[in-house]
Amino acid sequence: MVRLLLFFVCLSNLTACGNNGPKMVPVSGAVTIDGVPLSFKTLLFVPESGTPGGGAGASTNEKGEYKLLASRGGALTDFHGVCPGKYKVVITEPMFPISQDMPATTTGDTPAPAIGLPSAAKTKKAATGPSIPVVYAKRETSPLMVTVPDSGGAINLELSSKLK
Amino acid sequence: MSMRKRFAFTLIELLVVIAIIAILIGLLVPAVQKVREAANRMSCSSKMKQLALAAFSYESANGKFPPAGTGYQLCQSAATADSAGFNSNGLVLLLPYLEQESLFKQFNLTQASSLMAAGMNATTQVVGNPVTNGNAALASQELSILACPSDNNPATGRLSGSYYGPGGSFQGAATNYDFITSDSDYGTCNNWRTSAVKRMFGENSNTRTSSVLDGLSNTLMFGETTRYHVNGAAFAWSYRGHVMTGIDPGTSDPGVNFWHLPAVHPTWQNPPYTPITGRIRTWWASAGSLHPGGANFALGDGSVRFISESTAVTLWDRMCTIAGGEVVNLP
Repeated sequence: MVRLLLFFVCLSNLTACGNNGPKMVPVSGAVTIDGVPLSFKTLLFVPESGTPGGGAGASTNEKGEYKLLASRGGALTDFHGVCPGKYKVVITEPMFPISQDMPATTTGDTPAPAIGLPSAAKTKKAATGPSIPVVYAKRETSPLMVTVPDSGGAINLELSSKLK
Repeated sequence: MSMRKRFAFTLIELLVVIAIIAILIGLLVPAVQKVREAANRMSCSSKMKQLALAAFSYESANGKFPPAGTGYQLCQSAATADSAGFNSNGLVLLLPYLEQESLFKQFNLTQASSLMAAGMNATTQVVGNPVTNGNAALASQELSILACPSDNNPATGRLSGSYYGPGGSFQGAATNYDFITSDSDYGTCNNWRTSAVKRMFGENSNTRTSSVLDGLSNTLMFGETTRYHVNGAAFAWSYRGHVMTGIDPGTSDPGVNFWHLPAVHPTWQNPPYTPITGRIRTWWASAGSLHPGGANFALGDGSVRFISESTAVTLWDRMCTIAGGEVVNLP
């Protein structure tokens, strides 16, 4: 049983990206809509078929810039990077407004306000940025397909408000 | 002097003995802990297997699998919402097949399981009052059949209040196992009925074995989660509440064991947030366990597998859908 498990662990590591598999590469860039920075949004890089790893995501800042953070099961630290490969990019409103004076969250001893709760957005400066056409917010409909090269680097995303 | 020397231990001798004992303990303790975790994991997966068999018994008796729940007030889109609010959890329907017949009989299934005073859509109106019909009072019972021994988070304590509790001052008990659903069940009412891409379960779902076109042995049926969710509270076994849609390891939080998902929000990064193993922090609907390296899943054929946390997203996706038409090579 243990041997079988070990075998699976070894096998999964062969195909995995990240922890013990192929290297993750840093990716950053800027997101614009009709040339205007798309500030304070949430980005999700969803791996397409054939791309290893758990994908990545990021939040855009005031200038629409982002730096990808890997999604890694079991991890307890931040990691800036993603596995090279093809990704569908989904852009949504953040879970709750992104703002500079956001109170720091704790380890969460009490049930935290989840998305959509009125108490979730207790901020003085709730910056939201331009709105996103709904087509970009769903994986099935998003036209944003990117390829992360083996060396990583800058990937700029240009959206158009004409798409609905 | 010579007599003393013969009958006493020298300091060196004592130190050597202590060092040897320390080494032996050092070898033994991790071994014992590993055996204990292995035993826990086995007990955990056998419980999940019983749950899967219970679902099959239900299917034999009723011609379809139970829904993940009915009459959600937790979903947002009023247009597709049920007018009758039950906030029920399909796990309750499986109780008779888990040797919990007497507990099952105490439930009033014609009325709501949870009050969900802070419902997300205005269309759904709660049927009856769970506080007075007794359903809310049943929610705090801790069921060992739904508890994974590896999870050291307490089953009660977090499921209370108008978003997460069953109603009034009652509180719920958490489950370690839940149905595989879509995380879109939160945003879209009756998502299972309206969406083309289906999981095995969802709000008001009525999957039959014949509708699992990808093959029952290629499709996930039940998943494992921990009794502590930082975004939200935990999953109650007897009702549905805010962000308790069931488990979806395949969409916006693809994978298992996400104690830390810094991409979601700047305040979720470390620092300022300090992640803790066993406390899931994702959007919602996430799978996880305290078994090192992965979590248990029950497949549609009744088998239980331990699936590694390094499994690729694309594979998770394929394992979740019932009729995606994809080839799945299970890890």
